[in-house]
Amino acid sequence: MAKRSAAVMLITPAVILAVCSGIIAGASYIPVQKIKAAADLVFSANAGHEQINEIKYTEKEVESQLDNGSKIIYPSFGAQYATIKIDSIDLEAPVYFGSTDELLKLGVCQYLGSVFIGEKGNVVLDAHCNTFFLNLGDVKVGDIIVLTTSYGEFTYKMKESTIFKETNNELIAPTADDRLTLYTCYGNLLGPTEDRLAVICELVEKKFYD
Amino acid sequence: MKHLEKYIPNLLLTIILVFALIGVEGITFAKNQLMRSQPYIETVEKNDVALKSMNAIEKYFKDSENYSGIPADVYMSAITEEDIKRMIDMKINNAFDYINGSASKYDEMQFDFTKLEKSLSDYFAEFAEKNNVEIDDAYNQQLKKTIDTAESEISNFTDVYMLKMIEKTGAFSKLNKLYGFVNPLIYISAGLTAMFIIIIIIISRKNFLYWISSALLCSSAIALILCLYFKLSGYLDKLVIRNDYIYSAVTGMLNGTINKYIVLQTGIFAFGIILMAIYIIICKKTSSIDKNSN
Amino acid sequence: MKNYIKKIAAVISAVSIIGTMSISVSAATADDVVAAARSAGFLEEYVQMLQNYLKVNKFSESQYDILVDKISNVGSEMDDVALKNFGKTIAEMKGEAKVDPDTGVVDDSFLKDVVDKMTNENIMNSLNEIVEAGKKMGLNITVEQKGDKNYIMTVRDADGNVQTVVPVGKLVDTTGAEDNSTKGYPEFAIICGVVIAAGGISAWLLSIANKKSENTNG
Repeated sequence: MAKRSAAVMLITPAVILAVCSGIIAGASYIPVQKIKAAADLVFSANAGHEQINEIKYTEKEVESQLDNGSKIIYPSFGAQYATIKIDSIDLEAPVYFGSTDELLKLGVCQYLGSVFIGEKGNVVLDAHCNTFFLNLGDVKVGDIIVLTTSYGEFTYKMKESTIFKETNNELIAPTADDRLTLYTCYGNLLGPTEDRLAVICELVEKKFYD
Repeated sequence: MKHLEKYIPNLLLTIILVFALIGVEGITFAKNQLMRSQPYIETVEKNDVALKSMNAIEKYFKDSENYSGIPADVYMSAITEEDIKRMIDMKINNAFDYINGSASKYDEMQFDFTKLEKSLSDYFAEFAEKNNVEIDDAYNQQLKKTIDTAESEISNFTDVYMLKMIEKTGAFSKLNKLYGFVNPLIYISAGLTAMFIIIIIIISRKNFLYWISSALLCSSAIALILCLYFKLSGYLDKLVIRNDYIYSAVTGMLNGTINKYIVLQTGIFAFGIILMAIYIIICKKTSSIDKNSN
Repeated sequence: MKNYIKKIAAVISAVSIIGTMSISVSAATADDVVAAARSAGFLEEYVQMLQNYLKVNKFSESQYDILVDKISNVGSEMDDVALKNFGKTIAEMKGEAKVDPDTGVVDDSFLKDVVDKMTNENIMNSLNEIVEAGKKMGLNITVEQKGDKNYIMTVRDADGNVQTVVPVGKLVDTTGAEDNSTKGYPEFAIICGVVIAAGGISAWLLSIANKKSENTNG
């Protein structure tokens, strides 16, 4: 009988521990995930990003010539065909043609409704605000942005930045002038938002490789 | 061994007491260790963060000599390690002034860069004289741009806790809103703790020591398991921070905090064991007295 | 006589076949497809997407014909919307649109007005034309609705490889952080629930054991 009492006294704290742990774990799962996301954002923003290859894309390149005689190589959807470099915010990232959830995880994506890099018009690139374009807001007027492809190097200078709503397509529409438009989410780094930050850059130099 | 009277009510009260203890310990510890600037400033001192930051600044200006044409000495002669330490402390204090409501907004830093401005102005003037450069608007613009860039870069290197980045996540304004609740929460959880201890004593006069010590053991065990998981899983080592001075400050602070919390909880655990031991000794004495009287 | 009639019948059927063929053969090019999209009333963003797609993916003349044909059906759909809401066809609205005197570029903001008036049904009808075109061209085109007037069209080649993924409706990407805080929570909650339940059952059993030892001790 004494043994039974001793067993009850021994096991009771373990039962209390189990019940309390279960309640604390269940209640704190979501807040901990949110804090972890914020910590990952602060500490791991420049870390390497996961490679995902769930979707198989058609792989092809089509060599062509522009009106001015320069050679251009058109990439297929999903291909990484350029890199973007912005020294002022220490950014160097791959640029993919097309944008899907998967491609946005891999790098900076080019909006399908914009011209290919090197062609006349508006090149529109976007990326996640918590990864590649985390510091896009720190790009200042006059900062240089370089897009490098296998057929040339294209230099732009930041002209202005603005905030727009996701329902407004004005800034990503085709233009008559040569420009680069970079955009990302604005206002809420830890969740979705209706606002976008656009950084508009004017073309400085087009250097096609011979 | 005695049986435990009113088992289920006492068990439920003990479970609630565990939460009250975790609450009062956690919030009090957080207020003293995480919501004041002092522990952060002490970590910076302990880990020589100011020196590491100074080295990084010197390296930056040395690397930029090639394209700026301005020797690193022009900058480094105007700032000392003490200046860097003061800038770091100022940023930390400003952040906590905003969080605790002393300041209405987060002002990164207002440091007196007069010496740096004079050093750069003197260098520019000397260069202009040597090379017959006209002192016009373009010259003044260039000088201003150089000074602004230098101040901005030095400021970045003194942001050792990445406060600018944390502010971007909106955390400061959230903490500012929560700060007002900290003291009330401490009083409430302390009050609840006292209340449940009193209730347990009232309804279980013979075994209250057992229940209270169980509560202390369980609350400290939960905290210790979490802290040890953090330490042993190496989560802090996985933090990707390229800059040495930031890495030292951040991991120094996090490690220091976890270590202090482990010490606190170990003390509480030991106190729980002592209470349990006292209870067992009392039980044995009373049961031997009962046996002798029978 | 029989042979003579047979020969005439053969000539007649040959002529009719040639005649039918001449109706369908028009030797369209990629540029014709793009021009058809513009005249059908496609917004310039979609024209650009189509141009980009056709620069990389090449087709035969008959396939371009199919595209021109289906795009003109989309144009009819848009004309219906324009007539219903503005009392004019796309071509009529274009004729009345302002023209920049310096560049000669037509102000196509009227197209946005027409597109804004399109219902989900209009959009689906238009997209179905493209899906049909894909079927005839040997492509597999699928459309997924993401929200109100928000679709994703995926074009796959005969081998199932993705040729392009086109947004329709909502063109600006969602580039914010995903909120993954609830990912895996249901499973985790079940485990916590099991632990709490086990604790509760153990507490009940311990209380019985405790009562038994109380009864024994008197």
